[in-house]
Amino acid sequence: MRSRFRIKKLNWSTLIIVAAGVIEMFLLMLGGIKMLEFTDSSQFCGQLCHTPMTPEFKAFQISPHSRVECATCHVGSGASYFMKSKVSGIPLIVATVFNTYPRPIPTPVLNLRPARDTCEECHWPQKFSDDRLKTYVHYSTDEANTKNEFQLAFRVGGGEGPTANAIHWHIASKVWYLPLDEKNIEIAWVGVENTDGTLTQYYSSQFQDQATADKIDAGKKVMDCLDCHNRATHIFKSPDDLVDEAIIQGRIDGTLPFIKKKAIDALDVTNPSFAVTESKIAALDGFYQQQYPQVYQQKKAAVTQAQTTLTDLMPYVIFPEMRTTWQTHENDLSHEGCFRCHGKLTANLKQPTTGLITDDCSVCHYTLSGSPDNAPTIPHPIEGRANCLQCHGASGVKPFPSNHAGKANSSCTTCHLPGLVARSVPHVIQGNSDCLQCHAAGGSRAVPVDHAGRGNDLCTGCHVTAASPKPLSGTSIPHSLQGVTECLQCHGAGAFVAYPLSHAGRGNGTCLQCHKAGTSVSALSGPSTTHSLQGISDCLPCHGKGAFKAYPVNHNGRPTTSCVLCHAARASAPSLNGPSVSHVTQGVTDCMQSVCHASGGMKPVPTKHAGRQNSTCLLCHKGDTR
Amino acid sequence: MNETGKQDNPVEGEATKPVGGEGLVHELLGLIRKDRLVKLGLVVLVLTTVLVVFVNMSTLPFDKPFVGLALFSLLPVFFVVGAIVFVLAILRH
Repeated sequence: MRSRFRIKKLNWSTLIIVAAGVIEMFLLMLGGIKMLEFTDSSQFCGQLCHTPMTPEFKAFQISPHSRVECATCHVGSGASYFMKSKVSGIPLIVATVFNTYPRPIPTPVLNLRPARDTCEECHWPQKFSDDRLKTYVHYSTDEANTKNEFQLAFRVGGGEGPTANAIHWHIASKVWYLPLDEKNIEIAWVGVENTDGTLTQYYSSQFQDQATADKIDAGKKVMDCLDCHNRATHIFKSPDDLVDEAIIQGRIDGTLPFIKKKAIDALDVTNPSFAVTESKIAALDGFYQQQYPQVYQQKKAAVTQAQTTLTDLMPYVIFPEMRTTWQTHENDLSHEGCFRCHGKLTANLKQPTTGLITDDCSVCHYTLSGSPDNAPTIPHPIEGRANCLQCHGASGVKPFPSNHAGKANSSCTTCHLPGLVARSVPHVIQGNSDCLQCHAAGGSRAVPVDHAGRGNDLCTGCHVTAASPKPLSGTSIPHSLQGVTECLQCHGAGAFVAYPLSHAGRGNGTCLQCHKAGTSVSALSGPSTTHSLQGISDCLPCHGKGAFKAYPVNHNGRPTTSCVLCHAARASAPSLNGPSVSHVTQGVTDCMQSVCHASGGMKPVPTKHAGRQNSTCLLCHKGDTR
Repeated sequence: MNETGKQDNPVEGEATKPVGGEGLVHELLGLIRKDRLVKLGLVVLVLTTVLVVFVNMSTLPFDKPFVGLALFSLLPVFFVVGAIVFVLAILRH
């Protein structure tokens, strides 16, 4: 009986073809596995999607997690997450192909795997870490690229249960929070689950209306690694940090003058393109050739090396196509991150200052040596001055910057260490309250450049009076000051009663600080002249040293301009005129020739003219100049 | 197979085929020579083999992601072409 289903007899041809097909399928399966591995690779994410992922990929390459594939954190393991990531990646591919992706790439990544499924694959939060020492090395932008180094110890901590402490207590315990925005910057509520099962709650005074029970239940999140380490891998370093690292590593010669300044100028994030940055880097040659030709001759290779290094650093700083800079994305592993809650939320809304989540810096870190480069040292003694905020609070005479708002006295010395104490004031201050009269810029004892803009009220904050201050006084002025304003005319450098060398550079305004007019001093005046001063500009031909009517010895050295300070013309004094000369005076220079007007000459001068010189004749006797 | 040990020849005029492995090779070669679909299938198989061996042994696809994209893009092409060719070939035979 025939079967209803006719089965063709299989021949070898068919078997061969089927076998080939099976082999083909097997090979395609192997290839497919490799293809999936390729799509999960960092090269696929960062280099294939070249332009949109450039900033993130570049930051990733120099980060601590550069050997961890992108998919490890962004996809994770398991078939469901795999499918989710591939499906959610389709719109991204479309956006990449059609160039519709946003610039910059917005953060945070909304569909990122929870930290407890990614970070905690390798890092376990219960691990206790002791204090972690970190050394910060920073080079200044001065000519010598001055190195500043300080060491900060971080209380990392961790642990489990009731023994958990320090920074990683936030992970070891269950800390809930209610963010008001996607980036978790504004926090309205924090709830800490205590070991006894109770919940300690903190509220923001500013956003207390938004921390209702419903909203808390609906929107609360538990703190995880990424709440602080949101930039665990895509860490954008500033040009400042990158250049510092390059100098430390020797890739940039730190002995080149101003190299730090020129380097960060070249890597300016506002540069619109790589071409502009490259031109600034190339300009280093010209700068050293012109400003430091000797250095350029000796260290040309170092300059070239610096240029090469800066060119290598350029792609890690500037991302003009993506409109991204190192400042674009927040890094919550910073004071800004900590102070989202610390110093802001309080357990007692009625008295916010009590029950505040502490903002004491020493809770998280402490300084071992040096001080942060941007934290000025304290230039005055601190003994007896525990209340820093009295002068440096928001309403003090020298208020701190706005980013110090909310900080307590106890945190000041965490960053600001006592440095060189300001010089003491060597003179009595009483009666000399206007410090700027002598110490202003351009004054006889000008303050340093960094004191620019400071008023009198700040001086004694740092400069205390010396143990034995000297009175700020000099010799009394022996004459009245009435009508006298220009002391330097008689007493300036080189003048006939010049001041001492120690007074060099002092202006008229400073004289009276020390020199007071004595009591019952006479006015600065001498005998009136017996003749009118009209037409007389030079007193010395008649009254100078050795002249026929020489001034007293104590007038020696005085210039003619000083005469009128004391000697005024008497009212109705006759003009200095004598009989006119009856002959032509042109070519006649020696009036006192013996045949003319000398004693015994044809027409001798009157006896009262005895001793007068030729140069004085024409002062009174006007000649016929025909 | 008939009483003499030789295979029945369904096609008139065709010479009697040898049996065993040698016969298989002859059949395969004959198949490839005569049938274009089989030829195409063989080409697809060879290309797939070369491609899969290359992507597994070489780091070029990862070092140059655009090359990798081009290579891996061929896999679905081979899958589709291969599926069509092999199914048609099987149906024909």
